[in-house]
Amino acid sequence: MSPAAIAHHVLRVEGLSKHYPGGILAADNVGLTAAAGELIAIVGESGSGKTTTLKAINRLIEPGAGTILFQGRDVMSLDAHDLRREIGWVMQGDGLFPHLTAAQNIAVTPRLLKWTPARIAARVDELLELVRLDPADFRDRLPHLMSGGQRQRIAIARALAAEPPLLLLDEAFSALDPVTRAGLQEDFVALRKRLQFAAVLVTHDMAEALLLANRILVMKDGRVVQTGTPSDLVNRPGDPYVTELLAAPAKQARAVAALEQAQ
Amino acid sequence: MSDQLAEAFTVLPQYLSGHMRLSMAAIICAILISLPLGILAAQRQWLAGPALGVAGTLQTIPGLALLALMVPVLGGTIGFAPAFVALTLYGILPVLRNTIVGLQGVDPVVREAARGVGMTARQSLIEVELPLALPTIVAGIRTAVVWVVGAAVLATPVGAASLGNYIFAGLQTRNWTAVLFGCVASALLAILLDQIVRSYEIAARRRNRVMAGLSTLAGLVLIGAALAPGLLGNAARTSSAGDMADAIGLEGRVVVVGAKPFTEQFILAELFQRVLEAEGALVRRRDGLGSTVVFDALADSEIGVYADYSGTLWANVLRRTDNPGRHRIIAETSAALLNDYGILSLGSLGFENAYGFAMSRAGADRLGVTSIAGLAGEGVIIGADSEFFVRPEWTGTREAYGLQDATPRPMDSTFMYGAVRDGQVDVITAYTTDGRIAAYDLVILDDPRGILPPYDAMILLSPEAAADDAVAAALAPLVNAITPDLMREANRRVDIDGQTPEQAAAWLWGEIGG
Repeated sequence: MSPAAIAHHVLRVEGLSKHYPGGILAADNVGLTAAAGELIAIVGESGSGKTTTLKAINRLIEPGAGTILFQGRDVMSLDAHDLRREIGWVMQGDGLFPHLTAAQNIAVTPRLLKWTPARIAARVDELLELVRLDPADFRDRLPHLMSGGQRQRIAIARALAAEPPLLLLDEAFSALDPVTRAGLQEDFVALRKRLQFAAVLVTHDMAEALLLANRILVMKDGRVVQTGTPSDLVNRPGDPYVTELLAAPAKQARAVAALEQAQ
Repeated sequence: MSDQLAEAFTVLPQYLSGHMRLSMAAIICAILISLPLGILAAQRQWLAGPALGVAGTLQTIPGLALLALMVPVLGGTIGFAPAFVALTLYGILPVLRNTIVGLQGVDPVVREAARGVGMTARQSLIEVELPLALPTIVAGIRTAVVWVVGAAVLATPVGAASLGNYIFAGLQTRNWTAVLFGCVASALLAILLDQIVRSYEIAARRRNRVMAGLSTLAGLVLIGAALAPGLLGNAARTSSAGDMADAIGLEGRVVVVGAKPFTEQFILAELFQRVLEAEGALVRRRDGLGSTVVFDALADSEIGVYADYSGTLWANVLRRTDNPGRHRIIAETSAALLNDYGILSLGSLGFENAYGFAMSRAGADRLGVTSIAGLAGEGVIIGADSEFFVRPEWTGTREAYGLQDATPRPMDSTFMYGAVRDGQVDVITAYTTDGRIAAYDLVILDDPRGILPPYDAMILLSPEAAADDAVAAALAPLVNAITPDLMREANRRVDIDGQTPEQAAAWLWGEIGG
């Protein structure tokens, strides 16, 4: 691959392996790439190695073997804290700091990067509008005075605050009720189109992956079972496990369609 | 009653400032130790267990014992240092425990979020974990404040001035106004400090600068109030030294007078103070010291003078159990104290304050006894100060008179006279100079076999005070000057009439021709 092609990828993971004490192989020779504007979904059950893979990228878990290149730089050659400030992070639950207001939560990473207060204030209002929350209403609210969906919007705004080229999302929509989730997913698609950041989304929900991702990695027992576009997976499942994962959303869709036809 | 209250208020600045200085220094020091230790231990389980274990064990030691233990631990030093160290140890546990619990209680999701947004461990601690643990940590500090301010009353027996001086002296001189005054004052102080810490916490949580400023101001005013009387007091003393220019011998010299915690000792300390001040000395008082604490303090010249009893020294210091007679005991004790400790005995004050087995007249008549021997086989209940039952004379009396079936009931000496009068106990080991023997019509039983040793009151000078003949010369007129009747009457004036020790000492001084 030419240097230009490598630089084109925001993220490139090659041969990632991670052993945990006790000999558990959480990730086994995992590879993936993400270009600007691209969303990669990693789908699997708990224990499949999907979260280990995600956390290795911003070194919340130190990777074992393999190479992870972020904007062409080996993450192991960077300071872990600096690396994390350059990559957006949205975690399961919202992970907001309960003692800080919405504005203070969003401002955390810009503050660590020593932005000027004026620039931070402007950015906070811009982000609140991006995630469709009224700045005047939400700026000074503490997390416990917001709904789950509102908190998750603040969490996404916080992750995007320092204009990162890459966003990592760990089950970011899983804790929400279906209607709130659908609304947030829709807004997230629009946000991505507009800002063109690369993203890696870990989820156990195949339907969510099919809806949001440009490409999907299916993982089982630490290994990548199949990689492909949503249409590749649906039309040419390469493994019985992938077929199994696809069965549930397909069944739901058929049931809904049948009811619609019956009317 | 209002006399006693007025008296209580005159010494309030001194006791209150002593109490505040002691407890605030201990609390601040306890926080400075336990906060960093708690932060370290919260992340290291191998440290958390032992740290909490040691702090918890210290907490189980009764406060009075912990304070008293610090005296030998610090090489015999009395006063501020042992009280401060013990109270600091006492204050560590609640702050340490709550710091560890508070930090470990921070949601791991929040901690991971802090790492995920790019905070270093230090930034996560300061900006996220400590603010979230703050309410728990402050609760620990508030517990420490209440404990330490409460326990600081126990500083009196180790020689540090505190609100406990009211309580210990009041207990011994039957001045319940003083006891209550001390309790209320220390409770109010605890509540006040607790509220300052609490308002500080609320201010921190609401990020309210005005409230934080006011709390800081209140804290500073308290610290100022704690230090000011001490400074003013020193200035006052210095100027009073100037007024004494016409006195001879001791002008400007500081002499510390000690006293054990009972009425007679308080009166004698007042008397020593009078005599020494008449010669121009600056007298400091250490009242209510424990029996062994006071002797060790004298041997180390921490105090300069106090009165002790030949029988006590004979048993506790010389470790002798025989009874060769009153005059030999005084002579041998004086020789041993000078030889082994450099302590100079000026001789007897002229009276004996022995242990005497006392009964109510009705009780003695009912049993038909006039001597201790008559108590054998009667299964009597004996009330005595807690020291008596571990002294050799109790073992000696029990063996000699067959008192194996008697039930010992240790109690504070101030309560035993009333207890025997009211028949709650059958016999007490009274102090023979106590005014309540006559007032309650108690009968002292004979000791035909001479088991109870003599207890002549002796004036003792520390090695340092003994080096200057002027101190001995000033106190010499008191040798053999106080008859048993005079001492008994002085004690009675305090214990029965409710006079202050100072008033009783003034009367006594007039009687002996001062």
